[in-house]
Amino acid sequence: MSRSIWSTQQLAEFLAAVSTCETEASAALAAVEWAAEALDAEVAAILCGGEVLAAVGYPEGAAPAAELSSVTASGGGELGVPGVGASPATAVALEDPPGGILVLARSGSQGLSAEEASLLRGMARVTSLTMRMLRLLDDERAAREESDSQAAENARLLGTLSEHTAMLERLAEEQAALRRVATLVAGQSAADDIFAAVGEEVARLLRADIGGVARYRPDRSLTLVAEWNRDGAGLPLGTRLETGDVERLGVLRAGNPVRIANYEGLAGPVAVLARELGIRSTIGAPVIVDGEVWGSIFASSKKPEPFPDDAESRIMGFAELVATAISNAVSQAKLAASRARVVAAADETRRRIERDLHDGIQQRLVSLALELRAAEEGTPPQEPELKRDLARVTDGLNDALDELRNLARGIHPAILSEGGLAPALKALARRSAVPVELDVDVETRLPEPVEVASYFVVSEALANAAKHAQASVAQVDVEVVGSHLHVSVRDDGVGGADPARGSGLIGLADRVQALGGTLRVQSPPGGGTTMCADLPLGSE
Amino acid sequence: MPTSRWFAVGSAGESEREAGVRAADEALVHDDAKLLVAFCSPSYDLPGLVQQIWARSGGVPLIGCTTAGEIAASGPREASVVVAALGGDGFVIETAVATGASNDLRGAGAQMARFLPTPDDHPYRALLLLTDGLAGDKQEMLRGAYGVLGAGVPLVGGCAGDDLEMTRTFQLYGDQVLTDSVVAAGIASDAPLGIGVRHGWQRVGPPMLVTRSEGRRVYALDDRPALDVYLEQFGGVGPLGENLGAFIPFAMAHPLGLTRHSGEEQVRGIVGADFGDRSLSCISEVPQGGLVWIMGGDAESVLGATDAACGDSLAALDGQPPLGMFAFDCIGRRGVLGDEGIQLEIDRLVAHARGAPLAGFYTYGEIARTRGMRGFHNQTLVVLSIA
Repeated sequence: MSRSIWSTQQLAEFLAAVSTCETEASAALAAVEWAAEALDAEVAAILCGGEVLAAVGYPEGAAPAAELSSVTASGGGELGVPGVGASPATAVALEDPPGGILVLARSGSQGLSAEEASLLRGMARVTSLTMRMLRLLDDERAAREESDSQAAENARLLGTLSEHTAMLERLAEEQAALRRVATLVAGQSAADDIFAAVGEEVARLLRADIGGVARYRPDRSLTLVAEWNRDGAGLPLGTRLETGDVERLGVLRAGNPVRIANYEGLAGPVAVLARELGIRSTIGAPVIVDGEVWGSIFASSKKPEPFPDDAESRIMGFAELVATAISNAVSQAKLAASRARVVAAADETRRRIERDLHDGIQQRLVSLALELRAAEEGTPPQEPELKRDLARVTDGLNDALDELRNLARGIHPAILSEGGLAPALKALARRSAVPVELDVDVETRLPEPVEVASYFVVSEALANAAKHAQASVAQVDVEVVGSHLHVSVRDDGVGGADPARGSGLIGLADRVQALGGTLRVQSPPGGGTTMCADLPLGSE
Repeated sequence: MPTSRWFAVGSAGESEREAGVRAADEALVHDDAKLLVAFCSPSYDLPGLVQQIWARSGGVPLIGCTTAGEIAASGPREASVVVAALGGDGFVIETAVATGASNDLRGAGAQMARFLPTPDDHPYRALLLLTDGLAGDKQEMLRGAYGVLGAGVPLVGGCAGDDLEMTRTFQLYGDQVLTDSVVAAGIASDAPLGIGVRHGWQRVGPPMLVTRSEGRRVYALDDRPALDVYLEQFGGVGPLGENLGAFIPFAMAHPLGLTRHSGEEQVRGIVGADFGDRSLSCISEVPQGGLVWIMGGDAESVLGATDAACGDSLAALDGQPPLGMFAFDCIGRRGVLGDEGIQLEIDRLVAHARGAPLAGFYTYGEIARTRGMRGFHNQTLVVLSIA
C-alpha cells in the first residue's frame, strides 16, 4: 500500500489524538509527542513569540527557546539533539497561535523525506485548527463561566434577600403581636382580656389551630384560662384537666419551653382530649411569676407538619408578657387591699374615738351642764352674782360641748353613718362658712367607704374654700354615673391651690385611691378651685 | 588514577536453602556495593528471599523482579535467583519505586526519571527500569520518563514475568515485594554504558496499514480483516485459519514489526487470533494508523541478533572492556530458539562478555530507548554493557 495512504491515516490518527485535548497546553504537548513518535524523531517543539509552548526531547523545563526559534520555516536548519549532537531540523509555521511554529529534529544525516515533510505540514495544520478551536472554546467557556458565576451570585443574593425579607416579616409580625399584648398589659387591662389576646396572637403567629393560656394548680391539674380556636369551637374556659403523661413529660416542671410532637401512646385526659380533637402537636412556653411556674401559654396544631424549630423561642416573649400582666394584677390587688386596710383601720379608730367621746365625755358634760342649769335656777334671789357666775360657766360648758360635738363630727359624723350621704352633706352645707349650692342625686345608701370618702372630700373642699379661697359660693354636685359615684365641689374663689401641700389633701387622695377611685384638683390662679372625685361603687 | 568500579553476579537454585543468602554472598565481592539487581523465579517465597538478600547486604539499594526464566553465565535457568551487584566510587546510583503504576503509567515513568543522579564527574548515565509485565501500555511510561530526561539519557530494562502463568508478576524494591509497580535504578558512571537492541527478524512482504486496532487487538489491516490479510501472506488459510493449536506456534515465528525510521522495528509477537471476528491478538499494543510488516525469522537469524546486540552494546563502550553485562531477552525468542538454541545464545553472550559476569532474565517485554522516542520492544534482545 502506498505511503501516501499511510500519511493520510497517520494524519487522521494525529487529528484524533490532538483534537480530543481539552486545553491548548495539552493539545500542544500531544501534538509534539505524536509528531515525534510518528516521524521517529527525538525532538519536537511548538513555539510562539519566542516562548516554548510544548517540547519533547529535552530534559524537563530545559527546552532551548532561542535555539529552537533559530530553525525557520523557510530555511530549516540544525538542532543539537541531546545525547546525539547536531541533527537536521525542520520547522512549519502555524496559523494558530498566530506566530506559532512547529519544529522537529531527528538524529541521522538526512532530513525528512518529501512525504514526511508533507505529513509534518499536515500535522501543523491540524494543530493550528485545534489550537484555534480550543481558544474559541476557552473564551466561550470563560464567558459562560463568568455569566454562570454572575447568575449564581445573583441567585445567591436574591436568595439572601428573600431570606432576610422573610425573616424581617416574621419579626415584624411577632413584634406587632407582642406590642398589641404589651399595650394591654401596660394599660392595665383586665387579666382575662390579656390572656385572651395572648391566646389568639400566639395561635395566629404560629399558624396554629388553637392558642391559649393554662393555669397549673398545686394538685398538678390544668385549668384553661384562655383559648382561641381557629374553628371557633373549643373547650369552655375554666375546664380542668388532670395532666397525666403530659405532666410526666416535664411540661409542668420545666422552666423551659416544651414541644409535644406526637400524642400517640400518651396517657391521661390531656392526651386523650388532644387525640379526640385531632391535635397532632403542641408547643408550650412556661409563665413564670415570682420564680414559680404559674402556668403556660400553648399553641396546638392539627396539621401533620411539625412546628418550625424556632416556634418555642418565638412565644417566650408572650409568656413573659403574661407573667408581667399577672404580676401587675397581683401587685395592684395587694396594694389596694393594703390601702383599704389602712383606711378601714383609721375609720375604725375614728369611730371608736367618737363613741368614746359620745358615751364618755359628751354624756358627762351634758349631765354637768344640766346640773349647772338646775343649780342656776335654784340660786336664791339675794345672790345675783352667783347666778351670773353659774350662767357663765354653763354657757362655757355648752360651748365646750358644742366644740366637742364638732370635733366628733369631724372625726366621724354620726349623721353620715345613720342617715347616709344626703343628710350628712346637707348638714355640712348648713355649717359651711361659704354659702353652698347643693345638688345630691343619691337616694340609696352606698357602700360605707364610699360615703365616708365622699363626705370628707366635700368637707375638705368646703373648709379650703372658706379658709383660703375667698369664695362667695361653692357648688356641690354628687351623682351616680354608671358604676361610679361622681363628687365635685367648685368654688369661685382665687384658685391657686397647690394639691401637693396640705396633709388634708394627701390623706384624701390616699383614701380615694385606696378605693380604686380618682381625685382631681383643678385650681387655676384666679379661676376658682374645683375638686372632683370618682369612686367606684362595685367591690373588687 | 582510575576510580574503583566493580560488577559481580551470584546465583542459587531453588532447591538450595537460603538461596538468597548464597546468591548475595557470591555477588557481594566487596563491601562498597551501590546497587543490587535481583532476578528470581516466582516460585520462591519472595518475602523470605528478599529478606535474606537485604540482611546479607546490610541494606544496599536493591531492585529486582520475577521472570519467565533467569539468565546467568552458567546457563539459562528456571526456578533460580540471580543477583548482580555494582559497586565502587565509579558509580553514583539512586533507586526509586512507583506503586499502582497501571493507574498512571506516565506519572510513574516521570517519577522514576527524577531520581537519576547527575553528578558532573559521572557523565555516563542510563535509567534502568523493571516494570510489571502485565499492566498497561509501557510506551506511556516511557513517555513520562522521556518528558523528564529528554533524548540525552537512554532508557533500558525489561518487563517482569511469571513463568508464563500470565497472572501476576512481582517487583522487588529494598526489602519489599510489590506488584503493579515500576522499580528503577538511575545510574551515573564515570565510564561508558552501552546498549544494544536487536531482534533478528526480517521483513516479509509489503507493508500494511493498521486500519483498525484497539490496544493489543488488531482488527483490520488495509481495511480488511486482519487475520485474513495476515494468512494471505503465507499463501492461504488452511488449518491455520481455524485452529489455535496450529496457529500459535506458527504466529510465534512470524510476528508483526512496527515501522521505524532508523534502528530495529518494534516487533509485536502474535499470541492469538479470534476466528470469529478475524482479529489478531498481540503481546502488546499495536497503534492504529501504524505501518506494519510481517516478520520472519528462525533460530539462526535470532542468534545473529544476539551477536549484533552484543556488538552494538560493546561498541558503545569506546574501547573499554565490559565489567559486566545485563541481558533482557524476550521469552518469545526463547520459543523460537528452543532449548538447544537458548543454551547457544547464552554461550554467545558469555563469549561477547569476554569473561565479564552476566545477569539477565526472560522477559514479557524489553525496554531500550536510544533513538527517537519509542522504546518498548517485543521479541527482542536488549543488552546493557557496563564498562
